[in-house]
Amino acid sequence: LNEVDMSNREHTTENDALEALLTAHLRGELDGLVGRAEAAFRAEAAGELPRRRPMRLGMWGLWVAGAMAASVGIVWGVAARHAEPQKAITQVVTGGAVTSAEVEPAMVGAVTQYQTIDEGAVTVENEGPARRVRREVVQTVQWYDAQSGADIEVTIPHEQVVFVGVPAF
Amino acid sequence: LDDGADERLASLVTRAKRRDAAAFAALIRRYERTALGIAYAHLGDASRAGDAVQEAFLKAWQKLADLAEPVRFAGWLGGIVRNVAIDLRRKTKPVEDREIGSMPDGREASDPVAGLDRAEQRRQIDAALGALDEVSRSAVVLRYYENLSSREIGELLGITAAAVDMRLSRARQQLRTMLATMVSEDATV
Repeated sequence: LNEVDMSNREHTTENDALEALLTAHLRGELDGLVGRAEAAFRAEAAGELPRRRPMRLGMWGLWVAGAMAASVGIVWGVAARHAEPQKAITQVVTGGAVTSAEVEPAMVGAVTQYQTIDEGAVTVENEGPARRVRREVVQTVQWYDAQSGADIEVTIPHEQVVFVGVPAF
Repeated sequence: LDDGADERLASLVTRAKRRDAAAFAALIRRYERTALGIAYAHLGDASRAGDAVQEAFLKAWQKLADLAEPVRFAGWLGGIVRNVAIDLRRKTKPVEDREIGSMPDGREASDPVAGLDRAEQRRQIDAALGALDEVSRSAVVLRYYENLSSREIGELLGITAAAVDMRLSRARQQLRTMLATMVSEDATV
């Protein structure tokens, strides 16, 4: 009986040691993560972290890029057709008297340059792998004021950065 | 869980189903460690377990309307955590960050030998846990991390309390053998 008793005690001691070892190990590994899920949920609930699946991110990214490019194009087209150029005020000397005359410069050119740069793979937080694509658009419009002989040039740069999701294997 | 605990749980779940974010946050606080245990048992990697748990709770929030019996929340959540962990394991390969994970902390930095010992100890425990089958590993993690009863573990894993006890007993035996040196060192301290 004494031998059985001793064996049981050793067994219990070893179990206690094993329990202490495993508990310490698991707490060391996992305790640091406690609180993350609640923080993520609160951000989600507050709409601070709109969640998208990686493939949706890609579709959204492309959609947003397309929509932005289209809107830039539309706005630009409307602006080019309907916007009145800045009216130049030219002073004309007639017989010693000074009068003002409004002269509308003529638009002589509009150029839109696009450049798309694939900046490589990145990891977007909580979204997985994605490619970062930078799209640079430079719009240049030129007018010519026939009366003063002045060339007017306006350059408008735009830049978009789009994350395009890639499937993870 | 006693009746009172069941009622409190049911009340929280019912409120959360009505999109009460504070109630759901309370559920997260209550079950996050359990969820971490389940995810860790499946993934064997703390960082990815954290990701899985985060994802699982967000899924649970979105699918809460599907939960018919509020008192079954723990088991239902456990299923979501398992599925997310399995998906994550399938999609991603474990990052070889053991060395990063084993970087000495401030205290160990002044004693590199202690840091290495600790890293080796972690590696051995991870290997021993990894040698268990998945259900037994889950039972061990939930018992020794969350101190859950066999009945609670059984509910989470979909097995009886007696089956949990049997698995825990066998797992302890296997772990004692694999970690004999460490266990005997600790036992003699």
